[in-house]
Amino acid sequence: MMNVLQNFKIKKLILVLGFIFISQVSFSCDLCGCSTSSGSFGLGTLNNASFVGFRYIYQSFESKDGIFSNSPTSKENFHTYQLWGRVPLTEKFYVSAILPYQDLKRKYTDRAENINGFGDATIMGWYKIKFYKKFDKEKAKLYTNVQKEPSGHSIEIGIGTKLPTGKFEQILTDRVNPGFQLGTGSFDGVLCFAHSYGADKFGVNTNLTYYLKGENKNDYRFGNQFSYASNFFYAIAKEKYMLLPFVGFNGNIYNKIEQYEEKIAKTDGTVFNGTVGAEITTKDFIFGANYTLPISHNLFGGNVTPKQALSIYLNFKLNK
Amino acid sequence: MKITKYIAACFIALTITACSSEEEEITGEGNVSLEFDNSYSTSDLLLTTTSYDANETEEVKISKVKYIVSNIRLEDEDGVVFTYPKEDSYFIVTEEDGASQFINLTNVPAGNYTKITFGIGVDKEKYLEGATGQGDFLTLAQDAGMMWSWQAGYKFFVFEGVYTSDETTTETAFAFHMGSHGTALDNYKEVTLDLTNSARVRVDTTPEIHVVADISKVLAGTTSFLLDDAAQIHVDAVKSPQISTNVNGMFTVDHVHN
Repeated sequence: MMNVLQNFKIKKLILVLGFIFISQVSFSCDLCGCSTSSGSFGLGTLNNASFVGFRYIYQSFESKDGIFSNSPTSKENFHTYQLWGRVPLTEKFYVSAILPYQDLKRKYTDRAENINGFGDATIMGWYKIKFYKKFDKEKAKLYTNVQKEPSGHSIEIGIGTKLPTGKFEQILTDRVNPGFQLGTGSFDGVLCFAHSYGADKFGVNTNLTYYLKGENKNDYRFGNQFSYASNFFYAIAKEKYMLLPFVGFNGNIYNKIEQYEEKIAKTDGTVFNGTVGAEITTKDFIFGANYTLPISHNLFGGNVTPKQALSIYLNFKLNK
Repeated sequence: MKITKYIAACFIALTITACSSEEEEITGEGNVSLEFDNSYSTSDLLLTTTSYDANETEEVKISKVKYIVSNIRLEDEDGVVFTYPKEDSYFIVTEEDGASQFINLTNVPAGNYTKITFGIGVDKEKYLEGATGQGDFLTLAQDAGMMWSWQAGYKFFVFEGVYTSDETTTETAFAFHMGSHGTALDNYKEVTLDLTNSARVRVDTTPEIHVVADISKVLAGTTSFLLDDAAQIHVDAVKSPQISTNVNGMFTVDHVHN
């Protein structure tokens, strides 16, 4: 009886954990950095794959158009089209890059606004460390040729930079949602730590990213940003493909924006999202989709409300 | 080792951008736009149509909000004070007139200003200059209904509407008119506010200082006023100074656009 109960508890725990874990689209003008690595789960065959891919991200927000509680709201729809790729240089080292194209729309009660163009490109270098099970001395005594056995754990450390390839407009900073920009106009540093664990049927991916924002030519500096994401996935292997449904969580913490080295009030915030999605991996391509919904948020003094986000991606493997 | 090269390249790129800020020389004159935005608590003030909670069971519908803003001074980050020329430093802000809520200050020395001071009403010194010393402002104030008479003086603050309460169930008019009473009572007071971020006046950039005036503070400020006790307050040696204090407490700087 005790065992049954414990089993039930463990199962429940796994379920709960799975439910809490989430990921991937970050609510902000920064949709870069670690998303390159978390875009595909890197299970088995993918470990050293190089690929190019295309990703579409849709995000929606509601922002207050004014400073009062009864100010009208504007509806924002952000469409981002990303070209991205990853190329291994050695067994342990690879580089990734993203070039986004942004199409941002904002509807006020009486007018509409639209900006589009290239966003900020990100280039990252990655170092991957795979962990192996402890060397089995007993086995080594019996057999002469003992292979190292992967433990299923691996970590990736990434360092890179986000380039000001997207246009930054000072005039747009006067509006309530400071994320309504094609780019930050600054050289930013991106530091990333990713851990993944893959067992036979399931796995967990966790990303921590820190964005060190630079100052742009308007003496404007977006707040440094910390992003975290964790996904729990389950692998269903078929003859020709593998299906990976996943569920997870992610979040962002933004520091205050500074201009002229002065912090601007109501420009910091946090958002915590839940996400569900699935990925299909074949020997030639990876197709994935996920849906993100904010669970809790407090962005820019509560003046910006993140709504849902959707992402669809298709990656082609280059080294078959 | 390739990896170290890439990391080094990233750091170099970041360092270059981080170190490229240069000292700018600040000279010349520019403009400042000062916006007075009236609210009722956190809501944008809406005249006549909206009923607001006041003290106890009282509810108000406001029909008129007007005040005189004067003697504007700006203090920069080094503590240097720029006083706007006194003869040009009297303005009437009217809720019904959107344009009146934007005060444009010209020929302001370029600088980084961190504080603003302004008066509500007309100071004794100005009043003592006599009717001719008031220049165009006298006519302006008369036309706007911001004077009782020359002898009684200017109305610094006008607040009118109708109210209801548990006691007063039919809409009843109220009016608070606050000012100095000739030379007998001086109700002119100044407000100094820290700017949320510096207003950076340059020859080619006009910062906008967005001031919010929370009108709910008139009835519920340092002193609480029940309209059932007195719905009409005009010249009152006790209550006028109290209203003046409440009015001074209603201003905050929401933000500054550069």
